[in-house]
Order: sequence, then structure tokens, then C-alpha cells
Amino acid sequence: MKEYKIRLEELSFFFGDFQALDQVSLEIRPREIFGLMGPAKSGKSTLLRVLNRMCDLIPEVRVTGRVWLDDEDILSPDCDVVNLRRRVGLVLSKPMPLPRSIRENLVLAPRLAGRERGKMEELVETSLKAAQLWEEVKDRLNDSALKLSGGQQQRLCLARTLAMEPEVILLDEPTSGLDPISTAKIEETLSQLKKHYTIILVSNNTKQIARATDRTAYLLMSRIIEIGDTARIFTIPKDKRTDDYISGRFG
Amino acid sequence: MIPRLHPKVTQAAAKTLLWALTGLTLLILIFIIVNISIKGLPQMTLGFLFQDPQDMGRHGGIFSTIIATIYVTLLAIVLASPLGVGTAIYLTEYTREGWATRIIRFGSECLAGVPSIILGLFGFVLFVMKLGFGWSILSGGLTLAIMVLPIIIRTSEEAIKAVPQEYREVCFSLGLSQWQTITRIVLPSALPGITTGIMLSVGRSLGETAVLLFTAGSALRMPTTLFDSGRTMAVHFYILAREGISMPNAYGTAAILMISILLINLAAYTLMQRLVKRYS
Repeated sequence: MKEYKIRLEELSFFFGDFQALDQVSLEIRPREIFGLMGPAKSGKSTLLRVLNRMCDLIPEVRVTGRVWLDDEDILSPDCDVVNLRRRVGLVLSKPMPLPRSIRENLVLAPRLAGRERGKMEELVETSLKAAQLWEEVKDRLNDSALKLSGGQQQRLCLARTLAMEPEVILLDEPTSGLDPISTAKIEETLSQLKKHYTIILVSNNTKQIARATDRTAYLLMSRIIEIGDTARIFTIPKDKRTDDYISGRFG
Repeated sequence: MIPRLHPKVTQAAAKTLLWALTGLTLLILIFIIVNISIKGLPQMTLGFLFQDPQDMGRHGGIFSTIIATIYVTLLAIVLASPLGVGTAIYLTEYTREGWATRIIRFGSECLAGVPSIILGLFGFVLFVMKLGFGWSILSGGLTLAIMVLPIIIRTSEEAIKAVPQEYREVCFSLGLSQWQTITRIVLPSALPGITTGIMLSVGRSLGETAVLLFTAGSALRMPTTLFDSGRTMAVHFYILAREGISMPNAYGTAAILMISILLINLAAYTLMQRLVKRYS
């Protein structure tokens, strides 16, 4: 067993003149929930978007350093980005179902990836069950996904990512717009998913990071301030800045 | 102190004025429709629709001109739609805004501003003379295609741009390629807008005369190949009225032209409503 799933080596990231990440190095272990916390503009979302190369969509960016997924350098020009994104799924902060039926949302990507057609029904059911949405929508899979509530839409987006059967799931503040009950459902789902997936959770809600993650990194002004077991970071932080942030004395 | 009107008074005045302007617009439209219907509808018999014109159009029907209109319009739309939509996709999805896109867009806007009679002359020089297609359905269709191309590019571009950027992000994050994203999500969402552009183009093509006088000619025979000359309904109307051949038949033709444009718009509108429902 390798000791890491993803490994960042001195990753720096520039938007034009602005440096969004500065020499970030860290390792993410297989089947853990890794939390990334930090104030707005600290580089959390940027880091997430490097991991499945969604950062390619932004013009005029420059990346240095290395990022390994298993033993593949995903920043290398040879990396097959489409395949990478199938292995590393991303759930965005705003629930964004496509204007299709619930079923279509789930099977669109697997079908285009060439998955077996006969398995689609099964895939719909398992991914909805994993995202704890099955019971609520099993009788209306052909209804438009846009009719679901915000919390349901976000779980559908999670299910949609799961239906791709990725290895890593990236979550960019997945509960920022949700009520506490929907949030609790998503967090519970994540703890179930941990058995099979490596999960990276970005959140600026420190309580959520404390509740839901195994290890945590604190990012401030494009730099990693501290990395460690979540329990340890939230009880005896080594850096004063981390202490300030988690106890709400930031800024 | 300058005396000021009470806001309630200006509000009422503005409302009345705007209402009157809208009413006037509507009145003009109704006047045209009623006027042409009164003069044209009495001519509208099955015989008028399905018989070929005789004696320069003084007698008989307008069947061959209906067919010529359909051929020319269909050809123009079939040629211009893929070109226009393709250009729009390229401009919106495959390039970043820059001098190249600005030049293409500027060019397309200039093309939209060219008077149709000049475009007709151009079609005459290029297709009729230089390429030797003669006065024909082909020359007419090609020139009309050039005429409606900017409309299709413009409306398609707007429609594609209006598709939320997040949809593309979602698709990419799910491992769809750019082409899959465009064909599966972006174009279906933009389809109502694209359809509107194409329907506008159909309307423009049906009503066009100047371009076709120069390029498709005015033969009254039934066109059977792409290289036959053909007289469209609009051209037929123009010649009947202009040469004083038969005003009743001219109005009959106009009425049919008007009704078909209304019907096509209605059909497009219904189709669009369905598409919008399906994708939302």
C-alpha cells in the first residue's frame, strides 16, 4: 500500500501577477477525508481546481511544482485531462444540476465515458443511495432535476460525481448554501463514502472541518500554515495563526 | 423656482404616451394585414394555389412560384445554418475574445449592413456570371445564404453565450470533452435561441426580392433542377404589381406570402415552447 494518494510538491500557482498558491507541499492518504480550511482568497479553491486540472479553464495561469496522483504526474503535458477528471471528481459549492431529468444527470457522464449500458439502472440506484437521496427521488427519476430543493440538488451533484466511480472526490464548500439538516446529511454521506474514496473537503466552516475530516491543512495567504490530524489541530494547534483562526480571532 | 409637475402627473402622462406608441405600432401592423387580406383573400382558391401561372401571371395560379420560393429558401437555410451555427460555436467556445474574434464579428456585422440590392449584384457577378450557375435556384440560394448568415451567427452567438458558464464547468468536471459538452449540453440549451435566428432568416428569405431578381431570375416555369431559373412569390408579386399585369393576383400572392410567414413563426414559437419545457 502506498502511503499517499495525492502528493503535492512545492506547488505554486499564479493568475497573471497574483500568486494564489505559494510552494504548497502536502500528501493526502488513500481513503481519508482531508480538510482544507482558510479564509476567503487563501487559495483553497485554487488548490482543489489544480487537482483535476479545472484550472485549465482560466486564461493566463502559470503553475510550477508537481502533483502526483498515485504515480502519475498530473501537471505533465502528457496527462489525459478528460481521463483525470473521471478519476478525480469535483462537487462545486453551488448546486448545479444540468437542465435534464434526475436520471439523465446521473448517466450522462458514465454513458459518454463508455460504461456498459445495461448497468445504468444499477448505477443510478447505487449512486443515489450512496448520496442518501434514493428514498426521496426513486419514484420520480424522470422529473427535471431543477425541481429538487437546494439540499437535494447538492446531493444529486454528489451522486452524479459518484456515478463516475472516481477515485478521489473534491468538494468545494459543498454545504455553503444549505440548511443545517441538509448539511448534516451531506456530512453523514461523506463519512460513509470514506470507505471507498479519498475525499478532500474545502470549507471555511471550521466546525464542519472539525466534525467531518480526519486530517486538516490550514491555508493562509496562499501558504500552508499547518497540517495534521484534525483532532490534534483543533485541540493543540502548533501555530498561533491556526489557533487564532479556529477560535474565531482571525482578522 | 421652476414649477415642477407632480410625479403622479408625469407618471400618468408617460404611461399614456407609451401606451399610444405601442397602440400605433400595433395599428400599423393590423392595417397592413387587414388591407392585404381584404384585397388578397378573395383570390385564394385551391386553383390559385395549385395551378401554374398562365399568360405572365394574368391568369392561372402561382404554384410554380410557391415551389421556387420553397427551393430557394430551403437551400439558403440548409447552407447558412451549419455555417452560421458553426461560426458561432467557434467564436464563443473555441477562442478567447481577441483581435481575431473582433475582426470576424466586425466582418459579419458589415455583411449584415450590406443592402440586399448590392448583395444581389455581388451574387450576380460571382455565381451567375463568374461561376456560370446562371439565373438559377442555386445562385439565388447561395446569395440568400450569404445574406442571412450574419443573422444566424449573431443570434446563435447570443444564445450560446446565454448558457450558464457553470454548465460547462460541471460537464468538464465530469470528464466530458469540450465537444461532448457542446453537443450534449450547450447546444440543446441554446437551441431555442438558435431556432429563433433560423426562423428570422426564413422570414427574410421568403420576403426577399432584390437579391433574387439578380440571381434566381424570374422564369415562371416550374424549376426542376438547381440550375433552373425560378420566380419566388415575392418576386412574382413585385413583377405583377410593377408591370401592372394583375393587381388582384399580386395581392393574392402577397396574402399567401404573409400567411405562410405568420404560420412559420407560429410553428417556430410552439416548437420553441416545447424545447424550453423539455430542457428546464
